Amino acid sequence: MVTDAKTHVAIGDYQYGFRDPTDKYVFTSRKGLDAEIVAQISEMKGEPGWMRQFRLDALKVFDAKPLPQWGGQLDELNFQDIFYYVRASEGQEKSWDDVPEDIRKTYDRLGIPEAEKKYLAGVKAQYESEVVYGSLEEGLARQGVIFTDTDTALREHPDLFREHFGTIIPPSDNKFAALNSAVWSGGSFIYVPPGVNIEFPLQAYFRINTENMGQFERTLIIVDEGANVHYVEGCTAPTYSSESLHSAVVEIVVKRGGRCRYTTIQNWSNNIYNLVTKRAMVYGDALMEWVDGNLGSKLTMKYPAVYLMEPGARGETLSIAFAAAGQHQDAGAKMVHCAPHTSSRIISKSISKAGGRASYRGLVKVNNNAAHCKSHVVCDALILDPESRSDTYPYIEIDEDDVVIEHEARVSKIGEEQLFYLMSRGMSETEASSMIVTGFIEPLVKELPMEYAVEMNRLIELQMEGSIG
Amino acid sequence: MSTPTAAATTAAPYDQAAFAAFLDGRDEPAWVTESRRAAFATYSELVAEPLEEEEWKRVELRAFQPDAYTLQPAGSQTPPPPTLMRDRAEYAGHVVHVNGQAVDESLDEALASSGVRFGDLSRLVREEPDLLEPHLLSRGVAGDTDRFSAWHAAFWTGGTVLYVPAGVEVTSPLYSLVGLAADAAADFSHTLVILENGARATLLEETASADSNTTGLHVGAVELLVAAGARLQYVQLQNWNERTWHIAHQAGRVDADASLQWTVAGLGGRLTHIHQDVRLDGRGAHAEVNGLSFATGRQRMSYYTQQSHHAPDTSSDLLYRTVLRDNSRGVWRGMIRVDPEAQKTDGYQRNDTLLLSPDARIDAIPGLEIEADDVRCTHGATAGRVNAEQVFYLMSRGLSEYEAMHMIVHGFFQVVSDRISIDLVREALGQAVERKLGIAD
Repeated sequence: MVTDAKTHVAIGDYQYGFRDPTDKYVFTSRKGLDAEIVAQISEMKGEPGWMRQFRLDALKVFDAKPLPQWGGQLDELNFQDIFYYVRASEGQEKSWDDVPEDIRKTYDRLGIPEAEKKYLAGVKAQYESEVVYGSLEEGLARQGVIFTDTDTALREHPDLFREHFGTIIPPSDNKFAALNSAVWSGGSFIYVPPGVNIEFPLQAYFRINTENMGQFERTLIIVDEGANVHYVEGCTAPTYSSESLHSAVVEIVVKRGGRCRYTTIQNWSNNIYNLVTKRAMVYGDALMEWVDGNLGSKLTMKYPAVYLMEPGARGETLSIAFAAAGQHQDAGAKMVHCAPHTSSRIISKSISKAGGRASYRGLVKVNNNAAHCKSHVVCDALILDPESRSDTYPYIEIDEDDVVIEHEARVSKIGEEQLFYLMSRGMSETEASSMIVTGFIEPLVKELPMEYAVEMNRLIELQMEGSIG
Repeated sequence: MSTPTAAATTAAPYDQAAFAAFLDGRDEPAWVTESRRAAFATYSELVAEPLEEEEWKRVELRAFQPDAYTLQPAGSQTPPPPTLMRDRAEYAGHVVHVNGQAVDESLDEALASSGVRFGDLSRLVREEPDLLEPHLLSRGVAGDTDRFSAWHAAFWTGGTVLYVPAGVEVTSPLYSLVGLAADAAADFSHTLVILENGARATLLEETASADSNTTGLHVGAVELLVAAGARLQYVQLQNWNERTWHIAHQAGRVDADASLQWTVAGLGGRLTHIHQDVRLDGRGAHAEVNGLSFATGRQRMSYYTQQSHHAPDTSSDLLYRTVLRDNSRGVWRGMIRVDPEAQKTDGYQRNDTLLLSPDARIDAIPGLEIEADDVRCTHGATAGRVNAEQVFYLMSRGLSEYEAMHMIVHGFFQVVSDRISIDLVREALGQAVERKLGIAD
C-alpha cells in the first residue's frame, strides 16, 4: 500500500495515504482506555501530580458522558480498539537531520522542510503522539515569543500553562473534550508577548501513521495585548481499512487589541474520525479568525467557537467543507456574544459529491445585556450529484433586543447556464465544473497564505476530476 | 352526544378507568373506538417516558399539570366567547365548539346538496364513516407521533370537518370557532379538511376564551388533505387568554398540482407549542405558509415547522414574523427536507423577529436537509429591534414614541398579512394586533 506521492494520482485517490514502518517505535501503549493507561501516559511524560489528577478526573467525566445523539454516526467507534499513546522517536529535534529517517522522509514528501525555508516563522511537526521536530525564528524567540509543544510548555512554563490550561474548554464541556483532557499528548503552545507582531505564519503539522491510533493533541495559544499571530495546521494520515481517531482540543485567548488567525487544512485520510473542540475567548477590540478547511476524514464534527467577552471584540469564521464518497463533514461555527458592541461573521461553503454529506451546524448566541451586537451568517452549499446530501442547522439564540442578526443559506447545484456558457467557450464539462467549484470557494481560498491557496485549489481539482455526471 | 364522564371528577382524568368511562359515554363506530384504544395504549406508554430532550429543552413544560384540566360535559349552556372574525362576513357555513363540544353548526343548502359536508366531527364519524375513515388521523397527523398526539387521538370530543367532493368549488369562506368557557377545561378539538381532486375551499378558524381569567388546555390536531389540483386556504387565528396551554400537531398534505395557503396567527395562550408540517406529495404541488405571532408579558410561543418535498417540481414558501415584548420568549425551528427524487424543488423559509424589550428572547433554528441535487433551497433568519431612524422619522411627523413603535410593529406584520388574499382575515389580524398593543377596542 506504500505509494509514491509524486506519481500520478488517480481520481478520488488520497495522495497522502502512504505509511511508514512502526517497528523502530520507542513506545506503544496497549490498546484500550482505562485509568492505568491514563496514569501510564502521565508517567511516561514525567508530569506533575496535578496534571495526572486532571487526566484521571477527566477520564471519569468521559466515562460518564453519553455519546452525542446528533451530528454524525459514532456507533461504530470503539474506544477500546485504539492505541492512546504512541511515541515514535526519543525526543523533539531542532534539526531535520536528527529526526529518524523514516519520519523525516514522510515530512519531506509532505513538503514541510521546504515550506519552512520559504515562508514560515516556526514549525512543529507532530508524529503520532509526540512532537518530533520544532523550530522558531531566532528573532521571535528573542522578543519573548514561545512556540513549543504543549508537553514542554508544562515543564518549562508551568505558571503560564496552568493559568490558562483547561480554562477555556473544561473537560466537562463535552465527551471528546473529556477524552482529550485524559489522554492529551503533544500539540502547540504559543505565547505572543504584548505588541509583538509575528509577520509569517507559525505552522504545525500533524501526522498519524499507526493503524487504530488515536491522536489527541492539545493546543493552547495566548495572544497578549496588541499582539498578532497566524497559526496554520495541516493534518494527514495513511489509508487503512480500519478507523483511527483524532480528537484535539484547541484553547485560545486573545487579549485586548490582539489578533489571532487560526487556519486549518484538514486532509485526514477517509478512515479518521475527526472530533475536535476549538474555542477562543476574545477580549476588548481583539479579533479572532478561524479559517477552517475540511477536506478529509471519515467523519468530522468540529465547530470552532468564539466567545466575545468585551466590547469591540470581533469573531470571524470562514469554513469550507468538501464531502466526497464515504465522508460526512459536520462542520460549522459558534459565536457567543457575551458583551455589548461585539460583532461576528460566519461564512460557510460546502460541497458534497459522490454520496458525501456536508452539514453546516452553527450557533449564534446573544446573551442578555450584550446590546448593540451584530452577527451575519451566510451558508452556501453546492450539491454535485443526486447521491449526495447537504444539511444546514444554524441555531440562533437571542436574549437581547438591541441587535442585528442575520442568517442566510442557499443550497443549489452547479448552474446549468454557467456550465453551458463555459462549455461554449471550449471547456470540457469537467473543466467547467472544476472552475465553477473553484470560483465557489474562492472567497475562502483567498484568505489562505499563497502556498496553501495553491495547494487547496489543487486538492479541489483532484477531488473534482471526472466527478461530474 | 356524549354524556358527562367520570373523568371530570377523578383525580386522574386520563388513566385507564377514566378512558373506559369516556369510551362508554360515546356512541361511535367500531373503527373510531379501535383508533382511540390504540392511541390510548400509545399515550399510556409515552407518558411514562421522558419527553424528547432536543424538542423540549427550549419549551418549558415543568409548570404544566395535565391532570388539572378535565373534559367538560356536553350540553352546558355557556355562550360562545367573543370573536374576531365571525361577524365580518356571510359565511357559507359555520361550526362552533365550546369546551370541546359542538354547540352550533350550519351549512349552505346548495353546498350540502352538491355533496359538501361541514360540521361536527362527532356527528360526521357516525353519519359519513366512508368519507372519514380513510383520512381521520391517518394521512395527516399520526396518533403515535408523541404523547400529545396520542392524548389527542384517544380523547378528542369534537372537531370541525370539511369535505368537498371532486370539482366542487366553495366560493364563500367557511367558519369555525373553538372556544373555551369554563375554568380548568381541556379541549381536544380536531380539524379535518378533505378536498377531493380539483375542489376549492376556504376555512377560517379561530380559538378564543370567554373569560380572561379561566385556565385552559387545548391539545389539538389539524389535518389538511388537498388532493390533486385542489386549492385550499386555511387560517387559524389563535386568540386564547393568557392562561391557556396550546399544544398541537398540524399537518398538510398537498398532492399533484394542488395548492395550500396556510396561515397561522398566534396572539394568545400561556404557552403555545405547535408542529406545523407541510408535505408536498405530488408533482407540481405548492404550499405557502404564513406565520404571525405576537407575544407579550411572560407568554411562550414555539413553532416547529417542516416543509417536506417528496415529489419533483414542488415548491414551498414559508414566512414567519414574530414580535416579542416584555419577558416573552419565542422559538421557531424550521426545516426544509428534500427527498432524493424531489428534483427541481424550490424551497424557501424565512423567520424575522422584532424584539421590543431587552428581556424578550428568540431562538430561531432554520434548517435544510437536502438529498436531491437539482434544487433551489434558501432560508433566512433575522432578529433585531425597532430601527431608531424609523422611530425618529415618525416622531418628527408628530407621533409619540409609543405610537411610532406600534406603527412599526404594524408595518412589520403587514409583510405577512399582505400575502393573505382574504380581506376579512387581514382586518381581523390588524385589529387583534392593535388590541394587543392597547391602541384599539
